[in-house]
Amino acid sequence: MQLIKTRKGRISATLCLVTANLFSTTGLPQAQQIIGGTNNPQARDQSDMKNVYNQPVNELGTITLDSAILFYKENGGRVQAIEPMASFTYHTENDDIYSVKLTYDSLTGASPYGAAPWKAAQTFVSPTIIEGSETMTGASGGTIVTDALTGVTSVEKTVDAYTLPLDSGFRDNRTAIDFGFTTPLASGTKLSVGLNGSHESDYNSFAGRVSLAQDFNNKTTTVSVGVNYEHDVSKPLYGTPLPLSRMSGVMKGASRNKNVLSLIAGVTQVMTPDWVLQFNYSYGSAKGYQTDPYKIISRVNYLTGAPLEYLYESRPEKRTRHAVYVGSKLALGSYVTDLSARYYHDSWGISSFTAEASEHIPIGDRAYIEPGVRYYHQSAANFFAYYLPSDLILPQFISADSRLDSFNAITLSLSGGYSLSDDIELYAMVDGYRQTKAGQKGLLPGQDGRLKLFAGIDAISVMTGVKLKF
Amino acid sequence: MKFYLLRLLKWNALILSLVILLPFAASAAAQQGEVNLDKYQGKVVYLDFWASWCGPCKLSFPFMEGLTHDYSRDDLVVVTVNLDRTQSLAKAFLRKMGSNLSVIYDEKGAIAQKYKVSDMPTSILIDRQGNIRFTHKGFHLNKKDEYIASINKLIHEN
Amino acid sequence: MKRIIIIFSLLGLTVLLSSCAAVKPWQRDITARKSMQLNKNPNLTAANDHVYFSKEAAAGGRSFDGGGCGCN
Repeated sequence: MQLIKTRKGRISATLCLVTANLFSTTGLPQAQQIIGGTNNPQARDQSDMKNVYNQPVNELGTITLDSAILFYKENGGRVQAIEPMASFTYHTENDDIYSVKLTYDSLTGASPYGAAPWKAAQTFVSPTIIEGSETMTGASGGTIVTDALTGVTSVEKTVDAYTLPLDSGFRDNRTAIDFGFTTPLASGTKLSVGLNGSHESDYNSFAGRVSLAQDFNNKTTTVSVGVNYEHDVSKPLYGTPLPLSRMSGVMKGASRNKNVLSLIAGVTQVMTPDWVLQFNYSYGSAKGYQTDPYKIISRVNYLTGAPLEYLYESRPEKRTRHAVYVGSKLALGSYVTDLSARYYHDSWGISSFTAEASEHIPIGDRAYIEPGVRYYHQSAANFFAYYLPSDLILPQFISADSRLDSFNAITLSLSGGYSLSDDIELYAMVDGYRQTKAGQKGLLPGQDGRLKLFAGIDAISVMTGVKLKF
Repeated sequence: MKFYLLRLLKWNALILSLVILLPFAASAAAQQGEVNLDKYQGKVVYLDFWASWCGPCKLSFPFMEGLTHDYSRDDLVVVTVNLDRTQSLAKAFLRKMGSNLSVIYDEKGAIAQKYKVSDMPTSILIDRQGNIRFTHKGFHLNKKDEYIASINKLIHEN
Repeated sequence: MKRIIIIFSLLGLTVLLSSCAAVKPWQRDITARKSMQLNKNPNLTAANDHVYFSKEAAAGGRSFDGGGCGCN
């Protein structure tokens, strides 16, 4: 019962007290907390003083340089990446924030073609361009073959029996830059704008974003709305293949674009002095070329499973996505429990559920570790297939990309930070990620269990970084 | 039998009355932290509510120190109310700022409640007659002129 | 349609509950902590998001406004 503040109806007052008790983290009634102010002052004195991460964020009038490097490696000779990134943020005394971030991505390793494995060796053909003595290919490795009749040069890659066909020698570098600016329009109203661009040899992307955040209820409630518009240009080195055409060494078609409009709306609520809850809804609409120009699918004999030909995949030109997210951050002493869940569904028939949990554990005065676990499940796209049996007519859309398969994924992560001083922080993260097939394991006709169709990954990520404040 | 029933009723009445009266008592106790501004009658009072964890509060302290130097103590008094739930953090902050501004500790937030503080920090300007005239929510360096203008207005009244 | 109803009732519940357990502006010491920020390590978040985006079909989710000290 709060006697100092504004009157409330008796029923809602009772309800408030009931719910407040439910949410109270210290076991003391919220009402007493508001009247009394402190709860268990002894515990607070002991824990508050010690660890650096209990100190308040103090960013007015500071410049922050934050750089990190990520090492990513999938097993089985698949994709490896090194990704350094650096950001510069200037937070003025008037609460304006200017930021620039540069990211560089260097990828090597092999990626699945999308073709199914077979009991005998298989050969895959890709175009190659020879200019003078220089050979330019979308994939290196393999043998260069010239067709005597047409004079067309192509690269032939042979893959062993009982092996998931991997397009090795896949190599690319990506550079990305991001600009952001945030400014308070009024007390409790913040406007953010940003621009983003990335470039790699066969793909360019440009995006712009605007968002508005408004505070209510004495700044304990923040409602934010954001929109992002992205324009992507796909320009494979050997051109864009006609969907469902045969895999060959012939140069393909022109570059293709897609546009993506995304909206996000959310509420962040400080529920109790120890607990922040967030709820978001996001919507995305992608129109244009969304096929992977390098991926193929095996058309196989419907009785034996033997590959007859390889066709370039085909995906719809429209995709709408919806996601609902809820996140919670709860402090218990100097520990913070972070929980979140997300439900996602899109017009390609994919539904997914994500749940994450992590615990911030202070270590001594200057450090923390944060173990975390993530569970992810997705259902397959409605045009996903491991192969196309020869007794079916050619569908309009089909893809064997493992990214569209049904699978479960678990991540176990450990991150930590160490503050050398108030202005220098070192941080690091290590995680293991594993995808496993969900639902019916795919089998080729002929039912040979040694021909494994699931192309999900196991990967390790390691990241280290340093943050400097001036 | 009747004796025990009566006893039970008496205990129930006692417990019930405690449950009802306790919040009254608690709120009365909390109000003990009230700030008495009577001694400043005839002077303009700059009443500032702050806490050690509040970023803009760090910027407001040099400003308030400046006020104590720029204005005579017969004209302007700066009184700060600290709202840290742990007093030691507030004292550490004051040491770091090298501040000798007067501080009233309001751990339970009763004074803040009374003055309806809705933002951190909040500064309230009280005129020489003891009336609340301006409430500045937050502290913005680019509004310093506005704050000084309000102070001057109150000082030069009458 | 059902989804929309669920979404909005969750939203409404949050706002309703928020008006009950009103946290005072001077009780933001814990939410102001470094450890309680919604995005305390932006590079880490970005790297993870990038990996998940390239290996999984789902996208979207969190934003980073709100919480904190609620100052100014």
